[in-house]
Amino acid sequence: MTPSTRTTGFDHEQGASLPDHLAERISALRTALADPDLDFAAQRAHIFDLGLAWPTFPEGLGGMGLTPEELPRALAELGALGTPATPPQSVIGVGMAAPTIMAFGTATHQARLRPLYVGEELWCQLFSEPGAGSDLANVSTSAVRDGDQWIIKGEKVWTSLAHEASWGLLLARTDPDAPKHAGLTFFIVPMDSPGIEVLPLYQLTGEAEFNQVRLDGLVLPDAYRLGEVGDGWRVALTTLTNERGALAATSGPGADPMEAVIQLWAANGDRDPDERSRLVRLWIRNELLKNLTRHAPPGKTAHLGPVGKILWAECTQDMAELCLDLLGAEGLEYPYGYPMRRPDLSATATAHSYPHYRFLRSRANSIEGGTSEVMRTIIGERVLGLEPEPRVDKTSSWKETRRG
Amino acid sequence: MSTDTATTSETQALAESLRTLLDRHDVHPSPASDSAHGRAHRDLWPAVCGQLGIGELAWENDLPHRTDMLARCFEVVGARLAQLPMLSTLGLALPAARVALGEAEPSWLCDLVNGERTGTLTFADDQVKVLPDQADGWRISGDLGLIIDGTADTLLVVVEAGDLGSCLFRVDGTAPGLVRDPVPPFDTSREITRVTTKESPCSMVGEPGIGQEVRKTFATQSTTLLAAEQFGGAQACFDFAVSHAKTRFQFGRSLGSFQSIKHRLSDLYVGLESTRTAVRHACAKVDAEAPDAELWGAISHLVATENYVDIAKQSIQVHGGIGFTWEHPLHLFLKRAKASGQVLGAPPSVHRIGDLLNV
Repeated sequence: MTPSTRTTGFDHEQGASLPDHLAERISALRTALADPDLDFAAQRAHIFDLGLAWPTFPEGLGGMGLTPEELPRALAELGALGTPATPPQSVIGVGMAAPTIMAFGTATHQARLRPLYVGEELWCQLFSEPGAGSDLANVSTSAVRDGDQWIIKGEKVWTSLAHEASWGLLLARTDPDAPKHAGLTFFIVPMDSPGIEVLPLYQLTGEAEFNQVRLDGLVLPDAYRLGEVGDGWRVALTTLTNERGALAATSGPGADPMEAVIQLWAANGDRDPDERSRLVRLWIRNELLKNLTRHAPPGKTAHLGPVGKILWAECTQDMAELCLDLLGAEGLEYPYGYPMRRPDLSATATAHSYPHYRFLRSRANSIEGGTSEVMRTIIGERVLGLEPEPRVDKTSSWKETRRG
Repeated sequence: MSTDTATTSETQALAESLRTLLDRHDVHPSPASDSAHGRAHRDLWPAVCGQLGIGELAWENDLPHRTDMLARCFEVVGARLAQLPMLSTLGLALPAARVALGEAEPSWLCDLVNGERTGTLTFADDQVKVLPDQADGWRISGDLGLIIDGTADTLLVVVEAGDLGSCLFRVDGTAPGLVRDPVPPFDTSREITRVTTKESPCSMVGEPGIGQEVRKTFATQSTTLLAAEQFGGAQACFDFAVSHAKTRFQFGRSLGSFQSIKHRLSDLYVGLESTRTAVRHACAKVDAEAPDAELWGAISHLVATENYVDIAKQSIQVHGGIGFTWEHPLHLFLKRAKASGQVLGAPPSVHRIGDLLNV
């Protein structure tokens, strides 16, 4: 870079020159990635070591201390470079565990960032429980202090990747006498510890995308605690606020699901007017969903998050159902049957493109990532400013509140 | 709470001025929508159309965001249920005149743009006949049906004129043989008039056969602007409902704290934001003269009609008995919502949209 392109401030304009500190790293990365013999892990190691894994993190921890304002430009440059995308199994680690460890972790915890980014160590999230889904702060897994260690007992559920992960993020109750949000503490857990039993969670699709995790006799050193005792809810919120962004960042511009519906419609000779009406209405809803944030009033884009979630869930469900209906009698046969199996995530897998599967799987769309009911409450209270429902669980002791 | 924060951006500036002007003259939805009330609103027309320059904007050809800017003015008028000849003059007559006239600017057109005269547009059925008269003009005869603002100074009529095909004709409101019978409107905020003609003198606007182009303009611009007006009304209804849910207390709690009300309002908000998306997207398509502008005109009107009616009905429900009284303006919105689905002919059907989509 020549001195004439040196900039002092930062400029988002397309085509504006890169600030030196970023340009040098990008250039070094371009050189490193030019080696055709590098495997995925080696490419990721270069990105981490150049501080471009999470550019806003500090030097040495996968970052280079960029400001949040500088981040979009850095991400655009990395995108243009064709850096390898975070694979699905690393999303929880890269998108959710890493920002949490960065915000609350000690140097020991932060040493896990490099293997996490490179893909040597997968992470999972031990949050939900049979008694704590939408009401996550209701977790009842207990952590009891015993000198400089904690004894953990409880059951976690809906845990993706627990059977493959090296580490887990754990939300547990350390003070059952405190109000529910105040009695929680956050830990990281080596998943190969004694006292952890991972069982596949058999879903109505026949697949087991998730796991149940039984924790009984698990002993964690206090050094694995993240944040203060009793401050676990705040730490968990850091993980959760990064959830949607993490998922969005990896999903990328996939195929428009409407195309599959239109293809099926075109292949179907019936041309039933009722089905045509459903098709057209779905096409409209899908287009409105795609353009929702683009036409948001200034400063109101965030309000459309829960709106988009509801629209997406309903639209996806209705598309899948129309596809199944268009199959007619063909829909009577479910080619894979229902023996429990782990999902096949390979590029050549076809099971997930079957309308039967999509119809069944789509029932989860209005449950996962915040149920549509939770979304409606968020719209009502945070967007429209309606009074929250009276609650009995915020001030009284967690032990005293009704559960079940 | 307002669901559409005012900004000072260019697209919003004109709508802001309009809002201020209507505030100054206390133009709000009012159950006292008798003819005196309507006249008071219409007296503001020269100021709205001429002095604010909204007419000029509707006529202007080379502004990149013209429809988007106009649409925001239609939203304001729709939210106030202002009895201005906005849809008729600027939503129907001017777009038709623009496509027919090209560069020409006859004096009657300047009067429409300046707000000195009002105009409207209708599509005649095949019992309406036009015949050339001796003086190089035309004569129109037949029942023109129910026309929005049919008492306008200038009536533009699309008629099949034999071998010439579909043509656009201009009839003066005072033309001999033209009879205007105002009918009691279902939607009391919009004037509807039955107009019949009998050998009334008229003149052709633009080239013979221009009717097809006028129809296309109607299906893109007029339809989109009506959808914007509907969106404004839907927003106003919704704001009433949200405000009531915050200030009405029963069983010791505000209505909005009950999940049945909260979730109902959240669903309406989803519908409202979907409508905003449909309208804004249609405006962008019209402004870009995109090939799918007609598709989006149709979608915006369909989506706006369905959501406006739903929001009006549900807002009345949220208000309980209060919503069923004459005093509360919500019934005016319900009537407008239903009527606006028919005012340009039925909203484009899902199957019409399917045809445009070629599925």
